[in-house]
Amino acid sequence: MKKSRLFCLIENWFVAFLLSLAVPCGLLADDHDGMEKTAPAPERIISLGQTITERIYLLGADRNLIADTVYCVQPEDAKYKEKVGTLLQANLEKIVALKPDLVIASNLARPKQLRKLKDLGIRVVQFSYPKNFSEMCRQFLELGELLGKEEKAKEIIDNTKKEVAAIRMKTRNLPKKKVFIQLGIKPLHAVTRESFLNDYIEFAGGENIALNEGRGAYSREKVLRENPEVIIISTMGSSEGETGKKEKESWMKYRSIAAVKNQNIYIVNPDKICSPTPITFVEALTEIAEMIHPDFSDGELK
Amino acid sequence: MIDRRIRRWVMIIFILTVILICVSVISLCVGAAGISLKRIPHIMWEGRGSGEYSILFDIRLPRIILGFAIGGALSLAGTILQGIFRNPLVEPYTLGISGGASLGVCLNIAFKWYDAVGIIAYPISGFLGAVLVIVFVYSLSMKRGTLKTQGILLTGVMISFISSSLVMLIMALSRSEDLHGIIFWIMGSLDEPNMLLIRMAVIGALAGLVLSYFFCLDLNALALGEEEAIHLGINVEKTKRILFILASILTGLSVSVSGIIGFVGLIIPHLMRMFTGTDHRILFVSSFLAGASFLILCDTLARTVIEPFELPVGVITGIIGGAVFVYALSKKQVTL
Amino acid sequence: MKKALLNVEDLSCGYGKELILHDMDFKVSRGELMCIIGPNGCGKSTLLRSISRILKPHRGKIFLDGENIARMRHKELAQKIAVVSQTPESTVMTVQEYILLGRLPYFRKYQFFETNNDENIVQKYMELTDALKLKETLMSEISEGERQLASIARALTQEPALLLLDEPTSHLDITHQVQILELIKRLNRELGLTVLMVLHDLNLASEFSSRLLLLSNGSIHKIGRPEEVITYKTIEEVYKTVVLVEKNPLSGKPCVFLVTEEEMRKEKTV
Repeated sequence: MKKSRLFCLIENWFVAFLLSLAVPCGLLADDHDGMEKTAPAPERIISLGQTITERIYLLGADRNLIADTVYCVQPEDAKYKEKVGTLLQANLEKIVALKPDLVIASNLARPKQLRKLKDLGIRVVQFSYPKNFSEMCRQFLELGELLGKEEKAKEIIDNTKKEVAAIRMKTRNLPKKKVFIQLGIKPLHAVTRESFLNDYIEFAGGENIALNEGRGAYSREKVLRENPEVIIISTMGSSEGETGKKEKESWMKYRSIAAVKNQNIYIVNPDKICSPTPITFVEALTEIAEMIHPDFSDGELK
Repeated sequence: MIDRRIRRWVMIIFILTVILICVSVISLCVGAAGISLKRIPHIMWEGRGSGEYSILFDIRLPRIILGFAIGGALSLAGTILQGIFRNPLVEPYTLGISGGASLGVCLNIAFKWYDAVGIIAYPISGFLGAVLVIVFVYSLSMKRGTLKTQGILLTGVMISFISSSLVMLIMALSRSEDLHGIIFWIMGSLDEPNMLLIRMAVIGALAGLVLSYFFCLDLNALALGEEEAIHLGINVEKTKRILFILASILTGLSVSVSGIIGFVGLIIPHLMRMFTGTDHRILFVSSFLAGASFLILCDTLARTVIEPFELPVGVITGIIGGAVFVYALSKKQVTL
Repeated sequence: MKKALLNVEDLSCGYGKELILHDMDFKVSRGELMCIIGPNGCGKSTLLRSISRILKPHRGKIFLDGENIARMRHKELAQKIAVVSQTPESTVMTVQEYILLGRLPYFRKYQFFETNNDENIVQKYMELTDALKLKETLMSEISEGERQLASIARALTQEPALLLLDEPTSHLDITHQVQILELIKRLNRELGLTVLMVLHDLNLASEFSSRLLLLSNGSIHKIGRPEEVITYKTIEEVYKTVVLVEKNPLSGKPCVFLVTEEEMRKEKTV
């Protein structure tokens, strides 16, 4: 075998060998989001998500919040914290320079970046996207424990659960309406059982026409066939107006749909209903209940 | 005459090395954390322990090292490919390798293989995708024992198109969280946390450089055309085969570790040819060094221009590379 | 009889399944200057390609100095045979760099740079071909005739035993044609270089070669001295044209004159 060919093969094998070494390292290094319950309450917290920031404020731990993302503008005070990036991309240097003892990330954070932070010895906790209301509550309680605010967390959750139970009680007696929540325009995406937003429909006394639709890809024809009585549009950009309005107009063309006939097409702010805190969940749920049952507010609840 | 030429080449290598060192030092000193220049010697003196030391040596330095490896590898691959195909538009990605790698990573993200294997699934899936494309393109272009250069380019471009369409298909069908992952990976970045991968990239790039030197004279002869090169005693088929595989592996390695960073493999060889001539004995190493410096510089800009936001480094390489190239073109004739 | 330098035995080759050359069998002696002539498409370039091993023969063998060229290593072949092609590439390197490439076959395994010996050889042949003044000029900036000179110089630096040329003068004006052919003749005489050259111009071939090989439809029609090969009969058979063959008054070599239709009619009436 000619020498240079031999070299080529040697290099290939070397690279392959190194790659194979990397696999166990990768396996070892991959943390699951474990909770370290024994650590003391953190004093320097960085939040990498809007909802996380809101919840920190709710729990009253905002004194320890030293930085958040550029889009953390709720509540007002969050705007003035140090900024370390966005929901999707954090600036690692800034984070390290601020010497946090806890970084809280959402499910959208880049795995590479979180891994790097962990390698640098910074405690990182990542919250996955809750699948339903009870998981959201559980996560909130976990967050409370993490921040040393168990009591407050429990208080808020208990309240929330009470309010939600009350709403459910009310809607139980109201006639069930067929509801379609639209999450995407191109392609058309529906809320299914897999999604957290399905709970809105259920608690508000509605029937999700796309309940068992698997991944959520949906078509207009299906909507026409299912004939929902309420259509709720919650796509990105819909709160600013244009996208949502246009989509509403396109639905209005299909006169056969019950929702169109009764003018029950609503546009909602996706930020509010897709990533709620326990408090805003109740607000959103109430809004949706009103959309589904026009006579909802006539009761004592609101 | 030899002495004069060797002296000139040594000078070129020296200048490029100095540029590389300067760019690396600048990159080390500049960043979002706002560490002032005066403090840096002090931090280095104090050693490990302070957060600032960590920023310099655990965040910035790995990026610089990876920039060195990837910039060098991509430029080298571009030089090799432009030499084999004698076509100025050829770069590592024209052969469809980046398309294959993106597809691999896309599938990984869509099917959540990283849940099973860990974060290492990203580079592995990227590399496998690249390798599959390489094998595919190679076997399609081998006819009766010769590597048809015309066919390869066309096949490569086709594969690029098909891969991007498939990637877009996967993106259309996936959920928004996955979408972000795919897009970020496609945009390319040097912030790989796994030191083992970084080391692999460096070793791979340097090994590639050394290996390429066994064929630098062959490429010089190949510049006259394949037949002429055969007349000069070059085993053209063997050379084309080995170099093609080498360039593909260099590209596959780069893409799998740092995503898609375009233009480096296209522009740097051209620029270097304008300054050093077309002799591959100097072209390989100067492309490598220049590519390394260029990528480190672009990465530094990417992470400081609108901090705390970090731009994808591929955007910077495209803009700066393209602008510099157009300027250089207007001043001097493009040569191959 | 001197042992033949080039021995082509029973050669049949072509592109793909189609055979262009059939049963070619001939020898070229050391020191000969042989020209290959024949109509377009008869296989002249194909023959050169087979000898320089660009094409693999379907059948037959080619021996150079007793050795089968099919078994030689690439560099070894390049040290023995050098090829000057019809149109040298107009690349962006200096003439000197271009000519230096001719020393590649002599580079040892891990050698990267030309030795002083290489430099001297290049210098010598640049002088011989009068290309010295073009040393630092780019190949893309000189005329075609000068490029051809550089190409010959490059082939010479390979110090081959056999020099193959494929229509080296077809794109050149008459001054350069004569210049290059005179050069080749001188090289043949002074260096003892064996030359096998494809020429399309019958008169030039007749003037400059010791033997001619007339190809027709892929096989040898006639091989021998110019007087034997260039007769009105053979030309008519192969080229299907009526010509007049006379002796060149200066050199004594056969010279071909075209006969136009008008003159043919005149002849008839006379």
